[in-house]
Amino acid sequence: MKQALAAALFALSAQLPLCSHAADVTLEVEGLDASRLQGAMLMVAVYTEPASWLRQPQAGRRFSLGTEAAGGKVTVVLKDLPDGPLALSLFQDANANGRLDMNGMGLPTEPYGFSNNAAGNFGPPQFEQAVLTPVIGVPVKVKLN
Amino acid sequence: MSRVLTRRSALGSLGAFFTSGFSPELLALGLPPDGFAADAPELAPLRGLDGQGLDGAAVIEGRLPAALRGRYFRNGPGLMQRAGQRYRHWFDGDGLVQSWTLQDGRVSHQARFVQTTKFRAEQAAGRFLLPTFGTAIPAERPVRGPDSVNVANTSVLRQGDALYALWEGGSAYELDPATLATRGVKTWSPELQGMPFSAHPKVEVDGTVWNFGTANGRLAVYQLDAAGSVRRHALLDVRAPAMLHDFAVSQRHLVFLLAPITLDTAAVRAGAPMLDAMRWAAEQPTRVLVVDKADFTRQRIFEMPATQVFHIGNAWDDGRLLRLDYVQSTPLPEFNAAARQIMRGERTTRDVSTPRVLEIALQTGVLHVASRDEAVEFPVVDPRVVAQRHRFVWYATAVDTGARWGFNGLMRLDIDSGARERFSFGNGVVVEEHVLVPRPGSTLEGDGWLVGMGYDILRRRSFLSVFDALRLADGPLARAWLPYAVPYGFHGRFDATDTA
Repeated sequence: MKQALAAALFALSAQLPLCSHAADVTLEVEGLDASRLQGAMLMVAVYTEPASWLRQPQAGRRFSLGTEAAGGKVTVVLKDLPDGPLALSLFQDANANGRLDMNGMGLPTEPYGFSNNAAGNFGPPQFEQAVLTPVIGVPVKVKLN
Repeated sequence: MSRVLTRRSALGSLGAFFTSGFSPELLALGLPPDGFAADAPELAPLRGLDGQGLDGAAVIEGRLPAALRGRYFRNGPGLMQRAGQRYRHWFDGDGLVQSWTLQDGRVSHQARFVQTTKFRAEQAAGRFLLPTFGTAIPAERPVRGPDSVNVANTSVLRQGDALYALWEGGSAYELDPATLATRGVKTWSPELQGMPFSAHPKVEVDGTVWNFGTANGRLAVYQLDAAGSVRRHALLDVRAPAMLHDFAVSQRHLVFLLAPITLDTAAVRAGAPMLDAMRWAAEQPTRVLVVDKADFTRQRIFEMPATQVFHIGNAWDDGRLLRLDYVQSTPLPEFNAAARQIMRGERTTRDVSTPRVLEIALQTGVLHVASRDEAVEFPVVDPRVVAQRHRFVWYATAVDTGARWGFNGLMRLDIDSGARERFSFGNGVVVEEHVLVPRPGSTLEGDGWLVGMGYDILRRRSFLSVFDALRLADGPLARAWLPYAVPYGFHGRFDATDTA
C-alpha cells in the first residue's frame, strides 16, 4: 500500500490527460515543514475516478514554495480542474526531486496529506474518504503531516 | 476479604462511576477511589497519574555516600487511563521521565510526562484519541507511522546536552536533562527521520552508542559517536520478528536473539492492537543473529529453541567464543496475559523469568545455554564492561514473594563461578530496576553502588535505594523517601557528571 502511495505521488510528474471542462479551486495548505522550504515544491495530484486513485491522477499541479510559506501555510489556486467530485493527494517535495521520499522502513519523510484530511489505517486512505465536490468561493483546506 | 469483595461488586454496578469521579464512600473505606488493585496493594502504583508531573524533596534514611553525586534518570509508563478508559497493557502507558538529583547530601526528585504529539493531543482532549501497542482505541488523529502513537515510555539515554526518552518502535524524544522539558522528536540524520530507535542502546566506554530498530521485518542498526553523530547505519534484511526489545554488543559483534514472533497484518488492518496481532510460533527456533561490527554485511545465524527474551545483560567474545547473559521470559502469550492482568489490578501466576548464560562456539556453531531458576528481570552490568569481558550481573529478584506480584530484592550473579549474593526487603516492598554506578576513581568491576527505586506497600511511598554493589547482603546504605508514590517504571541510567 505504501508503495502504491509512492507510485501515485511519483506519477505526478507523468503526462496528464487534457480536460475539456475546467474549474478553479483555491487550496489552503498547512503543516508545511518551514525549515525545508528553500527550493521546495508543493506537489498536488487530482483524482476524479476511484479506480485510478493514487495510481493515475487526472491532473497534477506543482508550485514553488518560498518565503510566503514561512508560517507553514500556503494558499495556491488549482486552475482548470475537471468539474465534479475530486480527491487530492499532496506533499511537500522538500528537496524537489519529484518524489515523496521514504525512510528505510518505507515511511514518508516529507509532509503529505489528502483532501478532507483523510487518513488510512496502516496505509493510505480510500478514495471515498478523500473525495469532495468543490464549491465556488469556498477554499479546500488540507493539513499535511 | 469477603467484605471487600462485596464492596467491589457493588461498585461494579455503578455504571457511571468511572466517569463521575471520586466516591466519598470509597475514600472513607481507605480504598483507591476506583477500587483499583484493592486485592493486590502492591499493584497500586500501576493506577497511574493524571498527566501532571511530580516534584519533591526526599527524606534520607541511612548514610548517602558522599561520592555518589549526579542525576539518576528513569522512564516508564505513567498515565494509564483517561475519562474512565484504561489501557489494557502495561507497555501502553504514556512516558513519565523522572530525575533524581543527588548532591551535597540532598536528594530531590522530579517527574514529567514526555510531551509526545499523542500525549499533548490527548491531554487537551481529556480522553484517548489514538490506539496503543496493546489497546484498540479508534484513531481520531491520522496514524502516519509509529511516531503518531509513540509514547516514549521505556528508557533513557544521556548524551551531550540532551536526555532522550526512548521507545521501542519509533523516534527518540529529546528532553532538557535539567528540567525534563520536552524539546521534540530527535532525528539523528535526515535519512533516518522517523526510523525506530530502540530503548536499549548500548554505550561503550569510549561513548560509542550502538542501537537498532525494527519495522516491517526489517532490522536497522546504528552506530553513533559520543557526540551523537551518526557514524554508520544499515538495514539488515533478516526477517526481523514483530517485536525485538534488546540486543547485545561484544568486542567484535552485534548479537540479536530473534524470537519467532510474526505479525498477523490482516488482524492489524481489522483494527486489532499490534500486540494482539502478534503470533508466537513455538515450533520455530529463536534465531541468534551475529553481525560483524566492522562489516554489517558479515552475518551469521545460529538457532536455538523458541525463547522469549526481553533483556540481555552484556556480551563478550575472544574471536572464537561468544558469551552473553540474558533473562528468559515466559513465551509472549503468557507474558502478555500477565501484563494485562496487572493493568486490571490483579495478581499473576505465570510471569516468572529466569537467568541464562549463552555460549556460542563461533567456529563450530555449537550453542550451550546454562540455566538458573531465580525469578529475576532487569539485568544490568557495570557500564565500564559494556562490550567487554564481564563477570557480574545484577538483577531485581523475587525471594519468597508467595502470591504477591513483583520483585522484592536484588541479586548479584558471578557468571564465572555461578556464585550469587542476594538481599530481600521482604514482602512489604516492590523493587524496580537498579543500575550500577561506578565509584569515582576506581577501576574494579562492580566497585560502586547499585542505585534504583522501590515502593513501600504499607506506606504507599516510593524510594530511592543505594547499595554497595559488591555487598548487597548488607542491605541498603541509604534510602531516600518521597512523600508520594510513583508509577512503576522500566529502565534508567545514572549520569555522574550531571548535577544541578
